[in-house]
Amino acid sequence: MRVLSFFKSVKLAIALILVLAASSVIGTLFPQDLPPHRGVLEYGESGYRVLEFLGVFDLYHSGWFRLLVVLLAVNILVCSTSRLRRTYRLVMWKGGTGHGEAPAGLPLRRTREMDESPDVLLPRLGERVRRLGLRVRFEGEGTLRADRGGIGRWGPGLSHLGFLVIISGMVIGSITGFRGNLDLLEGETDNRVYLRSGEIVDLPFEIRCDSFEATFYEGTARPKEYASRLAVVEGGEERLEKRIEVNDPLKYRGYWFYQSTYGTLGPAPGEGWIDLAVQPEDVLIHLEMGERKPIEGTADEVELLRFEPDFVMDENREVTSRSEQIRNPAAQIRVYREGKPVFRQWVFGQFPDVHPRAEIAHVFSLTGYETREFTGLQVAYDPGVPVVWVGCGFLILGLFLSFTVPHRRFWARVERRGGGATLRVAAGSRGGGRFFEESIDSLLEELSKEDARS
Amino acid sequence: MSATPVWIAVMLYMVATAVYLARLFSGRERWGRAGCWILAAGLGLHTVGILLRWVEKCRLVEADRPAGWLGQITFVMENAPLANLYESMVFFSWSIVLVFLLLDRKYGLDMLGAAVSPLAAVVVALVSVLPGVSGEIEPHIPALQSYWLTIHVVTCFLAYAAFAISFVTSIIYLSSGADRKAEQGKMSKTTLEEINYNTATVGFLMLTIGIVTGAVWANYAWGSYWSWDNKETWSLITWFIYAALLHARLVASLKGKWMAILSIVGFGAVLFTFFGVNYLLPGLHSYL
Ligand code: HEM
Repeated sequence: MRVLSFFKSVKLAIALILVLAASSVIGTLFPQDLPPHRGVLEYGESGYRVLEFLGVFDLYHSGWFRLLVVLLAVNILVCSTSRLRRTYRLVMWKGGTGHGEAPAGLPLRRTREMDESPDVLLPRLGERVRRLGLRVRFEGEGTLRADRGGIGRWGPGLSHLGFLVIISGMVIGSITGFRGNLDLLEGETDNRVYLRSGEIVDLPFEIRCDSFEATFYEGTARPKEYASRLAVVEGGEERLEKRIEVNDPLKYRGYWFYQSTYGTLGPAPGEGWIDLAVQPEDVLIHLEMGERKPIEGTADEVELLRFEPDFVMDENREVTSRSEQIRNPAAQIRVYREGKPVFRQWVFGQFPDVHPRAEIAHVFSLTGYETREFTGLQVAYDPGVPVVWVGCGFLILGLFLSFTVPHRRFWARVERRGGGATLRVAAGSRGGGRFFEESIDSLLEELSKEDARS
Repeated sequence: MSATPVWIAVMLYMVATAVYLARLFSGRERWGRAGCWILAAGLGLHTVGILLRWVEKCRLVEADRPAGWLGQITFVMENAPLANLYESMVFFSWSIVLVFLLLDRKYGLDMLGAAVSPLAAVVVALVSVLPGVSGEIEPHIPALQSYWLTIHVVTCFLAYAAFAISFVTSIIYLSSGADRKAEQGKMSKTTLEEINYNTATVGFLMLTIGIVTGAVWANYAWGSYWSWDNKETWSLITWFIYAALLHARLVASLKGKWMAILSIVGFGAVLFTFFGVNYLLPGLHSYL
């Protein structure tokens, strides 16, 4: 029980919300998903280890951030459920103080002595209150009550529920969903999605890319549209065809396929070719991947080992590609002299002759290579998404109710006193009550005037 | 061409500032009404300027205009002038004036006019000062071709405008004396509290719709409704701060002062979301 009342506190809610806000700031100050070697370079070995332990490099998935969200969720859940009964009783005019007394929770209280009898006064009051837009009910025994906008009381509860539903949707998504990439050459069919974690997910159907096109605004390099024509193939049969573009994905059985990137692939291991120019012999050699050919006019041979579209050397001096795009194409070749391998070398498309070897007397340059267009699809499977949208709907609807539908209540009791009557009034409004209270006061003013006239 | 009416509007906002100042010092409500009309005239011209630019942007890509009324609406929505910093600043200023005039009708804010009108003028004037802001009209890159984007940007800026007014109110609240009663020619602290709360609710509702429509857009464009991109995160931070503000009103001991403090901090977060993220932090929204 102690714990429950702790979580009922609005002060705790304010504190938790502000702590969450402050923690979120931290995540924007540090790069998220920083590769370890870059982190060590940036913050030093031990500095990186401490920061990594604190989770700042993947803050929004770190244990302590999640704990904060869970605490807030519990806070909202406890607070909202504990108020349900109270809200219900308020809206339905249940409970309150003793017989003939004004209900609780109505801050405005007025008492007036009137000259006219209750039988005249009460209907007149009722008519005026009705003109304020309230629903009026006569309770008998000279009591009147009126209200409007009771539904607005449910607004905060509904927006709190919405927030909880959104969090549930996010949890569902992070447990059951995945997000990854699927690159397809034109004409290619595949079902293997590469996740960022390095895992591969096999889709229960295949996707074929029939064509890809990128268009640009006339006379500029400003992209206008990227589009792929895709087909869904399931059990050997074509199920669906669609031209997707940025902002217009293909959806099939809960899987969404987005136009994400595109590019040109060079030769891959085991397939593709390059053209190699050799000086001073001035010959051009067309080499298939793995092929070995003689250099005309000499006793030497050359073999194509490897191709990298975007050559870089990492910190261990290992060669890799920075991306799948052809930005810095490079081919690795091996030269044989009298049948024996003599040396290996990288030949660059953009930087001819970076490593000419004097002792070999050949200067190689990469003059061409096979290129194939590919479309880069982002694949998302997230059963939590509809849940999130439902939560967003609740949240927005709840806010509308909270802010635009004030719950206004009015209560009056007229008691006979001599020839006249005593009028007791109580009123209140949820949210911005000043205008309502002013209008009640001016209503009473007019009523008194009319009373004096008669 | 479309810039001219906007600059005339800016001049009218400066004139309105002077008139509102006169209202403050003379205490005559007539000046307040005059300021309101001048602002309204400025808003009219400002609107014309934005519409002209909108037409020009549609003309630019006329060749891609689709057939059918639904296609037409989508086409026009997609080419709204809200796609770069220049266009969004012009729209931000427009929103400030619009929201101010609307709330003024409802709550009587003319005391704030002397602070809000120069703010609207400064926001537009900033475009000629800030680095890398170009007023040139350009067709939209693929990621920006979405009508969700238009709804997203419009609601976000309406929210920012409401928060700007809440901010101004809070500054006045904190700088006015401890006395809760209205002094001659000044607003009472209770009234300021109420204006602060009401503008914050308008802003919070709009910001919520803005964040949700942004998430819908991201889900279409990037395959993820939330990716903790810096701009997204900062809009969430802003949202949290105003959520705290709304709850502060429920706790008597935090009510007035904390609402004002949180409103000021919240507007700081708005400005950072808008400028700071673009200039200081990298992210997906780097074009906006
Ligand atoms: C980020 C999460 C939250 C959001 C978006 C949120 C939103 C709201 C909104 C919009 C209102 C209406 C405010 C008004 O009418 O002025 C409200 C009221 C309220 N909230 Fe929250 N809230 C959140 C978290 C919490 C938490 C954790 C608690 C737990 C104590 C809480 C307790 C309350 C209470 C008691 C009310 C007043 C209800 C009433 O007027 O009947 N809220 N909330």
